[in-house]
Amino acid sequence: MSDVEHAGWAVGGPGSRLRRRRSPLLGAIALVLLVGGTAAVALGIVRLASEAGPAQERILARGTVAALEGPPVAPAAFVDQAGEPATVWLNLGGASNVRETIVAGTECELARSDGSRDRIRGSRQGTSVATDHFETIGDVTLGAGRNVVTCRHVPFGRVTRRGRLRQTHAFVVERGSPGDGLGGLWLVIGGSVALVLGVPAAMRWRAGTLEDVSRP
Amino acid sequence: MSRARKLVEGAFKKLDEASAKADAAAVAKLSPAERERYDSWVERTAALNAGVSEAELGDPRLVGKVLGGPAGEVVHGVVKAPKQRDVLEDPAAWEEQRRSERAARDEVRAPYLAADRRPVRITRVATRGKSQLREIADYLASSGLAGRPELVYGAYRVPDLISPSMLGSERSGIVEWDIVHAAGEALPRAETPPALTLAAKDRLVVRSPGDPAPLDEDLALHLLAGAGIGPDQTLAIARDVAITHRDTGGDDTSSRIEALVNGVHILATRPVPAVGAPVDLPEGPPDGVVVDVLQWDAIAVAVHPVRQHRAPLPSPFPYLPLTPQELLTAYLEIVGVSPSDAYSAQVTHHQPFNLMGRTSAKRGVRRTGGGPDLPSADGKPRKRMAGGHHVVIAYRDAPAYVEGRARFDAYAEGELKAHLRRGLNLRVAVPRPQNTLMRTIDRVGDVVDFFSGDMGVEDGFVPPRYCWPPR
Repeated sequence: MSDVEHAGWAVGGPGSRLRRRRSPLLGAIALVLLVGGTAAVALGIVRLASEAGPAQERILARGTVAALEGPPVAPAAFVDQAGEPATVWLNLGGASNVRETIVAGTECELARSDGSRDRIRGSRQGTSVATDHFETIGDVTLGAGRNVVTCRHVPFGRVTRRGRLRQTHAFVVERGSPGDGLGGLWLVIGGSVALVLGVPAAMRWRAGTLEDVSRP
Repeated sequence: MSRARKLVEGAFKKLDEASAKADAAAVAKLSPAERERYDSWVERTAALNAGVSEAELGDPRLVGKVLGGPAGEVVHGVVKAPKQRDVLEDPAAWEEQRRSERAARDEVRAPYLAADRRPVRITRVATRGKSQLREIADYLASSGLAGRPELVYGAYRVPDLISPSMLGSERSGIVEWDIVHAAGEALPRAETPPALTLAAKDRLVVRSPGDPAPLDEDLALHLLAGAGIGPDQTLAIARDVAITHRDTGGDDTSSRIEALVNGVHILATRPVPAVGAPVDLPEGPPDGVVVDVLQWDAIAVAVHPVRQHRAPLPSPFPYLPLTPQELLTAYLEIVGVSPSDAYSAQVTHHQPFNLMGRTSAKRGVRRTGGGPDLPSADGKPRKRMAGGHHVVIAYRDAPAYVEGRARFDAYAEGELKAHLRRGLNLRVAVPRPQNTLMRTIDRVGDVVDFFSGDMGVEDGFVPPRYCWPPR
């Protein structure tokens, strides 16, 4: 003989005056939030993975960052309309701490056709975006006509750790701001919020509410 | 005798007196469990001094321990645990083995059973955590037991955590209740019994620092006595046990699954008046009522070492009960408690109890998953983390029960090789609350913790129930 006899749920059996009711509306809301949230998060991650970084069709120019204490390299030149934002990306791989040093040790200069110039410094970015192969150096507003971007590595960090700055690296100038490829992030955030709301909704639905069926 | 020598002797005497006084003060501060342990060692030392040999007294590692015998020797490291081979995994084979071992234990127990005992049946039902009390009251009504309180020993929330890996609290989860009764046949529906819950955080009892804190059952029993409600009108006194996931900060102990007593439920056929102003409750239960508390977890460590698994069978210690319900049943049948005299029969917890302590066969590994799906009250197999620390039985005393308790003690000590009332640490002295300076220091510490990132680390102080703060 077992120590205990299992008798099922306490309510809802013969003679029970309580019934558990589950709101179909709450169940549907919970389902939509959970399924929608999961889908949004998954889609957001896929979009982030595929869209972050410079897109081929938006690249305006390609160039090379001159090595620290190395010879100058040819600038990247292109023609564009005035007022358009552009982002300079460094083509880079490797460990994140090394990448950070290289980005911080990179400086670019944009020369517009009207003679105005802007400096873009990797160490002075408000926010930066990094993908598997690219890191932003900064963004800038283009001028009308011919724009010329020149990049070089500058001293940064301890002298013993500047080896990678003495090498050249490729860079690209992409039309748009660094956040243009991060639309998926909003999906991830929205999906997460839906999941956070969906879990308690599902739990509340599962617990249901007890109704006294003996009352008219 | 020279004057100098007299002076030195006098000084030594004074020192001895001061030392004895300090010792007495330190002993007086011991908790009941510490005091028990201290007394055990004093007794052992006295026996050794009287010429009793070490061999006769047994291994010192078992002094003051709940479990002796083969299980105690393994649990307390006197001998190495035997290698368990051929542990049954197949549920059917496991069940067959369980029945066979249980039959053998029943045979051993038979000579101790009370002659005029009543049957003991434990019916387990499933509820939702949020509405568990309302549901159990409804079940007592629908099963007819509410109309026959003289057939009910008690009811309690099963202190197991079901589906431990599920998100969220127990409020929406499944919580089981056991109803311990003697009804052999179906009963007609009865009225839903009224229920009263007393919250442990409320100051319902007046106590001074150093006074013994009331036990949940003491308070409930005094209330029932005050209302003139006897055991034949009482369905249950059940501790309000909640099992919660807690993140306490720290490193290795960051996650706790803790069983906590938040109060006590009283279910009777008549309404029990609520406590108004804090009452000056006498120590212990009312006269003529016994509250017997037995250690279960000490046995569980030996027979059910991993909470999420079935107890290993063949049992390494087949002479010990396999479940707390078996121990509870054994007590009721040996003492011969009549359900009409019973106020309460529970498997429950006392102090905050971390269920994560025994969740893996590997030492130091703590997990919420793992283990097979085990039967639940609603028939659906689920993962389960077995809890339960104490077995509590409260009943109106009678001369036959005095003999019954003596029989139970003989059974526990002779057959189980266990001292089940050791180290219970009940009714501990109410501590003195911190003064303003210490509270301020604590608050400053909390602010420092907040900014240093140690937020969430708790000091572990759990105030005594129903009487905090003291007067």
